[in-house]
Amino acid sequence: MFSYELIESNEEAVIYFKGDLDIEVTEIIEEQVIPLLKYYKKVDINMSEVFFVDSTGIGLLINLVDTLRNTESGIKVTVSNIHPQVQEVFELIQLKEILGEEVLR
Amino acid sequence: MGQSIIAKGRTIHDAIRIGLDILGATREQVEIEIIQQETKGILRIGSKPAIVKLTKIDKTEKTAPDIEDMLESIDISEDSKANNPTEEHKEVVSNDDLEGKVWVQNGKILCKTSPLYYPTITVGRGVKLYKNNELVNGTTVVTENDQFEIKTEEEVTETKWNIMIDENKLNATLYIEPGMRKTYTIQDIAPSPHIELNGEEHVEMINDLEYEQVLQELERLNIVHGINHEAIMEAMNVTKAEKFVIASGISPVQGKDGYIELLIDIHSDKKPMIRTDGTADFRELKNIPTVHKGQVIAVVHPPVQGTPGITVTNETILPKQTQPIFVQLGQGVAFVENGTKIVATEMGRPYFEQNGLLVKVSIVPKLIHNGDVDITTGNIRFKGDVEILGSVEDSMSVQAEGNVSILKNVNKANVTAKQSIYIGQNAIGSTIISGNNHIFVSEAAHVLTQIQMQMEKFILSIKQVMNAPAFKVTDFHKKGLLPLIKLLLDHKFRPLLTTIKQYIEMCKRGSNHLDMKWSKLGENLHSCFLSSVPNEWHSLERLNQLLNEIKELLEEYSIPNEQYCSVELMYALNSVIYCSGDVTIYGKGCHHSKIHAGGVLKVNGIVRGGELYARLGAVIKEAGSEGGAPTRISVPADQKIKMDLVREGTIIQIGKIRHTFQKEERWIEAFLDEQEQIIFR
Repeated sequence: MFSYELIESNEEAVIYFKGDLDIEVTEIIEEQVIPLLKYYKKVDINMSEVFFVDSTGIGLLINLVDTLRNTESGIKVTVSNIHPQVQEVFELIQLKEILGEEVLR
Repeated sequence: MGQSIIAKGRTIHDAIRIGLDILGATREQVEIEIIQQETKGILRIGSKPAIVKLTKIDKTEKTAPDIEDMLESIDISEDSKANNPTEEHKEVVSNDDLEGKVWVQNGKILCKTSPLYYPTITVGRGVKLYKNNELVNGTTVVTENDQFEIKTEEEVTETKWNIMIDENKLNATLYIEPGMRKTYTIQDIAPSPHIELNGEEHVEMINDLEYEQVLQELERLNIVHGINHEAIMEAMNVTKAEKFVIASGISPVQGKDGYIELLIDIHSDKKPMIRTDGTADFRELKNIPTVHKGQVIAVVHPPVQGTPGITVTNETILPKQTQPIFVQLGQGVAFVENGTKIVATEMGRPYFEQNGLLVKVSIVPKLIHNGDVDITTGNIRFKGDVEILGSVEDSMSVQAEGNVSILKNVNKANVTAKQSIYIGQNAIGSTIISGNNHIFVSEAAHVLTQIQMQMEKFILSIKQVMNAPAFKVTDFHKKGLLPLIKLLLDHKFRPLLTTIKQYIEMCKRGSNHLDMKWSKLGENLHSCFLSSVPNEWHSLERLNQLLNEIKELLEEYSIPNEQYCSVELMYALNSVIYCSGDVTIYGKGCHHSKIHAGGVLKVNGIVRGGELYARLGAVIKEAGSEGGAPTRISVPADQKIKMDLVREGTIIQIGKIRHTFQKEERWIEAFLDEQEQIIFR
């Protein structure tokens, strides 16, 4: 099952995703995560405990990053600690080019 | 034993005589031993005296002084001064000559050294020379004390032969290369300070091929049919490498597929009558053959079976299976006499289309339009030939499945025909399209080829992602491949999206000219790639199916349409002419027009401005303009451009190589050489 954990310090937040990022988490991302992160200035999405993704899950991630970036305050978003096997999928889809290099290193 | 002396002479006889003189004995009183036979040299060179030993048989014993006498006489004899002055003189001379020389006599090496000069021998071909039992390499010095032994070499090659059966097993060939024995003999060599010891080569051909051997090999190869014994005999007697066909089969006689024999000439001379002033009289054009009701237009011939052949190994070679021709009847035709004859049931132009063994036959109806095509008559669309006795006026359009002939002008109008178009006078500001594979199709096919290439990669990427270990297919049952397709099109395959949009747009624009298949494909591409809701197209299976549809359509397109079509007119101004066959302009020429000819382009007049492309070469009387309106003529790399007169500024392009004329030139024939340079002749 998917869960997340938020650690905040001042206006910066690190959110830890835990579990598979797939179609099942659509509601969690859209209804909980986005509203939760909207008011920080800097957000890091830590993917160290995401071992599987599906295409909807990747779509959600893109949507999340885009939504946060396009808020009025223009949140600076990064995605970090991606598991190597997930990274392989991201590379096949060229996610880095979609999100931009400053997000996905 | 009595006294013995050794005597020398020119011949044995002489030597004995000399000896007996010295001994003062008669022949009966002595024993004669021949020590050396005389040898006659060439011109006395290398000659040897005869030497005999005479022993007196004792009866009345003589005493010691006699011996002394004898020795004296031996001396005398040895020096040979008295008895045989001429001969002895010669020997002295020859002895002097031999000093420091070596020679070969009777296969032996002889020499005479001088204190100042030692003769040498070089060993040449075919000989091994042993000097004191050691093999000599190259050159060696000869002294009288050396022992020489000459051995000659011998080379033997065996007779080689084999039997080959050709691919069709129709011929067995015996290749024979007779064996050979090469021997060397030593010839005498005249004395010389240096000699080269060469063996004289003797070559003997040995053809030891035996008839039995050949028969055995034939048996081994199962060759039983058509054996030519004479050829084998001949092969056994050859002295050089040669080939003999020693068995041959019988080739099958191929049959003939069924075919259709046309009883009318459908490609009658299509050229209009040329008047004396060089213009064409299209009223005299008799280009369209017409048949009447009940006329037999074709005979269908059944296939003829071939006769089987036989291989050298006695196998039957079957001739190719022959096929009957399949006739598909269209409008206005019927079979009679069990389908062996085709009869017209309507009047019109017979139409044949053959694709392999499939023939489509129909009678094309003909529409004759009296007068002009204008706003009062409306556009003409006809599934057959159209003949217009007047002009086609402003913004009108004529479309025909068959030929179109227009006796007068085409003004700012569109004329499209699946077959040929003839315009009696001028085309001004018009679009003239003739043939099936017209411009829209070729453009659409080009775009589709790009889509095909990208889609292949696209499908490969989908498979790759799905095979990635961290990738889950949890959303497939709900949304199919849609989310993944979107992801891939978002960045990685964005060009595919653009190309597909371009294709769909094209299908819309060219809907009048394109076959339904093209636009149907466009719709499918749209559902698959441009839809935002999941549908049945979002599966790997369907994607592959779509790719196959594209391939099929492109293949269909690439099959050349054999059908003849052409565009002929007098003059073109500001017009677009597209024809998959030849384009001929008989009159003044063309101004500022765009012409695409799938065949040969011929302009009997001036080409002034515009762009011309001729896939099978261009023949133009005059090109370019003094005013300098850009004129461009292009052909593929393997074609030629011929121009009687070309003016400054005209651009020609052959393949990818472009040339701009800097001055006026006459009688030009331009083509590419092997280095891809334009050559003028």
